Amino acid sequence: MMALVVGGVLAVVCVVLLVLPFRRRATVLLPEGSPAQALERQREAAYEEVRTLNQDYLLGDVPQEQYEARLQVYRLRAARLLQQLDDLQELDRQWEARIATFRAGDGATTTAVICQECGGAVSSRDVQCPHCGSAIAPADPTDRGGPAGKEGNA
Amino acid sequence: MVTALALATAGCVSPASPPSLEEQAQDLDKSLICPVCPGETIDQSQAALAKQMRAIVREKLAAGESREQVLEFFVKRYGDGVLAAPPKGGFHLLAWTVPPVLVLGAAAGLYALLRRMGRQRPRRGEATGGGDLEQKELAPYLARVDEELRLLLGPSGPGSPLPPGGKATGG
Amino acid sequence: MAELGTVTLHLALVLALYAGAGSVAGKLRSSSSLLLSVRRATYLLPVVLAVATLSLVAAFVRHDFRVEYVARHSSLAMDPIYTWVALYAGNEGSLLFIAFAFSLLSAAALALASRSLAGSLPYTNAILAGVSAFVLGVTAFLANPFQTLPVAPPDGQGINPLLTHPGMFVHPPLLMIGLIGVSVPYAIAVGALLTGDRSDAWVDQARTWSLVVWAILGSGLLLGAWWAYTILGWGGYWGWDPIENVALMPWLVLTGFVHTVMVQKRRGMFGLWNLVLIAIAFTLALFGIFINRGGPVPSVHSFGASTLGWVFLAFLAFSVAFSLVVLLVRAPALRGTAALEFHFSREAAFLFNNLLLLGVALVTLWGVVYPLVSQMVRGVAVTVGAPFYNQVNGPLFLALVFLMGVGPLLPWRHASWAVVRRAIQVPGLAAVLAASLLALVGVRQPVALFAFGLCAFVVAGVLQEWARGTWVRHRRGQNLVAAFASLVGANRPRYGGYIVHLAIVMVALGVIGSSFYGTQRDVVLAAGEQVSVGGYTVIYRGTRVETHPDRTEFFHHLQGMKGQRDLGPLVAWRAFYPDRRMASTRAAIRSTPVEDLYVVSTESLEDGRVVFRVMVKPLVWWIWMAGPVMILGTLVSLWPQRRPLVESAAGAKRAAVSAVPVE
Repeated sequence: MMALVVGGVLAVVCVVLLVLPFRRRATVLLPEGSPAQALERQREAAYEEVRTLNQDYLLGDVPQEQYEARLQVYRLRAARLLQQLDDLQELDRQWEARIATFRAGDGATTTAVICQECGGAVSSRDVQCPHCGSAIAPADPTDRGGPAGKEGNA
Repeated sequence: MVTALALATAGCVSPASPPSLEEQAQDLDKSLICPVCPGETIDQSQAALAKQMRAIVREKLAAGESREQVLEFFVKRYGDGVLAAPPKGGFHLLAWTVPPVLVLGAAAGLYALLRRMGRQRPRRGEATGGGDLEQKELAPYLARVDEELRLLLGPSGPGSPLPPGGKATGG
Repeated sequence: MAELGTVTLHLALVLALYAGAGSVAGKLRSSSSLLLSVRRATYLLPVVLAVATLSLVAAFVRHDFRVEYVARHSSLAMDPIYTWVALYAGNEGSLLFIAFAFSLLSAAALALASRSLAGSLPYTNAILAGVSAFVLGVTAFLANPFQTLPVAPPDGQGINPLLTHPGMFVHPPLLMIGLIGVSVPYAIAVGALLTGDRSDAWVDQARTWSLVVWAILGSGLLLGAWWAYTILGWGGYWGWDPIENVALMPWLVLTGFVHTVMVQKRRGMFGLWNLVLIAIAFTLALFGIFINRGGPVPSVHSFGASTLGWVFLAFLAFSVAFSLVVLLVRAPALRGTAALEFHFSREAAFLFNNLLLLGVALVTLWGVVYPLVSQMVRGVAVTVGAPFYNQVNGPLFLALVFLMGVGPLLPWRHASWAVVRRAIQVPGLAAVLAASLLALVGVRQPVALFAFGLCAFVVAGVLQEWARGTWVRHRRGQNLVAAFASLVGANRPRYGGYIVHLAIVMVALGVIGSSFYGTQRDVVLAAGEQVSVGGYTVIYRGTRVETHPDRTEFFHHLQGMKGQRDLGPLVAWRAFYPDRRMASTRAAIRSTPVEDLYVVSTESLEDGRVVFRVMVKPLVWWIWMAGPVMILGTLVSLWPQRRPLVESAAGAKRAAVSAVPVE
């Protein structure tokens, strides 16, 4: 008897905790593996390479000319990544500007949301994310009958 | 590595000094499985049968029989399963040859693959640093990279090259 | 209590199924509410399973013999502290324990990865929940530990006496956690693969978890060896028993994985290969659990015939098929970007190390299944035991030790001959010196000399790396201690790895020493008699007998002498369990770094004399000491690396992005 009570209470607690997320206003999950994040990681990796290359060089494991050649490779790689990151931010700014004009025009009908795939700002009118091309889930969290999102950027 | 392997196998078959009778017996104990306690050699097992078998091993060695003769005696009595490892002959040669063949085959395959990858090593655009045009375009970013690297690596960074220091300390 | 156990077990199964199915549905429909909900299900699972596990513990503590499992694995006479061991003494309890431990690992993995792997987390969660659901389903429907008997027996059957050993508190749980834990890095890697995430963000998480699992499995294996050494009474520590083998195989493959995953992290190579490796490790770990819990291979560890075999086999087949399909479908997107340069690069050394580790695993697997092959093809029963593994795996292990010494000395990418020669000069010299020194001392066995030389090579290589790095930093103005600390701090994975290498050398020393240079004697002694073995003298003083309801214990008092030096009293313990017709021994061991004096009593004769096995085993001490060193090395290499500049710059940028108003 005691067992059933304890088990029942446990089950009820579980169900309540599991159902709560559906009752609340949907929280936006963190942007997932966004291109910006990927670029940052690659840049970090390039710096890490320079760091270890530098270590090897100081230890005398790498001859001067090889060291310079490789250093150049990593510098260029990092610079290119910085450039791409800047381009991304530029895109972000453009979109924010466009969103602002949208809202100024007919504010009530559109809302800005964040793309679930790349974290870029998109308008709720968009069916596809302009940054990564993946389908946009409907903005209203309670309206789950709309077009289902699909992996677009695989 | 080949010589290492050769050495290892050579060492296995040629012990340094002729082992005593008891040492030979202990070696045989470890090569025979106790038929009534699965997975245990007669050296490990305390079953009555294992004790008996240990006694037989010593008796036969004392009577001048060779290791092979003793093993053969037990195989006749209990079958191949009495040996701690399959015999190196007949069908059971498979047990011994399959893994080394696979490992050596894979090693050869890997070697060949590496050779091929080593040969077709066309330097892609990145290594050469792209064209001058790109260099110019990237210049502000390169400056930022250098600034960040200086911060990251401190005084020993590429901005202030040090002579290679390891040479004197390598030995 | 039994009812509560059954109820919570089923509740847990429902949670796991919901987490699995909900994760996939949530990801496919991009429903953040659903994804949040299923993540909670995974967090709730350990809570519910803790209640289930505790109710089984309570049943043991209260001697509730109405529960069949409790009646079979405990008794009134049993020492109460072994309740914890009895919990996993049989299939049913082990499965419950595995499910509980795995739910904790899954929850921890999700919590740790929720930031960096938000995209692939649903798939990871689904795979983890799938494994959980399988274990729980089997536990609930085929091996329920809460099954009750119609009538409660007055007393239970008691625990297997071999399990009443302090090592048993840690060894089985570590092995079980380690084996099931391989699912975590697997789920992280395959989750990323399914999402199509090519950013390599999963590499960090997978590396962390594979190292954790690697260390857990490794410690479990070492503790198992220690248990065998002290209790099985034959003086060995590793018998190439199928159960040991199946735990060793995933450990070997994981060892390969933690190496090549570093190459992927550092050089962006081997991405596909790493996925293959972790899939193999996962399959072998499942195979290990399958052999453990009702497998077809006889072993001293097997817990009797079990009907679970087929179910496990089906799940194993399913997971192999799943891994294969996922890899084949997604592989084309994973071509490595950097070309491998041959010659003596560290990458190439890593590849050959992988090959050898896989080779040892393959030999071992072949040895485990060969008896089945022979039985099926020829109908002949054969045994594949220690001589087979020693002869086939021995050379592979030696080659591995060699690579372990050379690999770290090679620079990345491409090493010129001059660099290689300079790097291996000192270690090579050390190896030759060590071998000739040993030869002078009287070591004649060529394989042993060669192997000891290799060990010296590895140690000298590691020391040289440390010395060189420290010296360079020292010359730039740091004092030696600070220089060493900052050297290790600058590349923790690497220098932690070196510490682990030293631990492996310690194990190798012990194995080489004890397998080439053990002395052993079986003697019958009456009180007052003595025996001399390998420079030691053991005097048998007499026996004290203690009678318990379920067993008779014999305390054989001995005195050890090394030459003329008294080593003090030793006690070789032996207990006989008449109901089970089983004996259990505890060897008297006098351990020093040089050699162990090992005395075990194997039988008490009717005339009062006692049969002893006396052994002198060189260097075994080092094997046990390697455990803490291995764990230290793993911790060092797991310790998060701080990356001040890049981290803060990236952080600032992220903050800037998230500050953008989104409403």
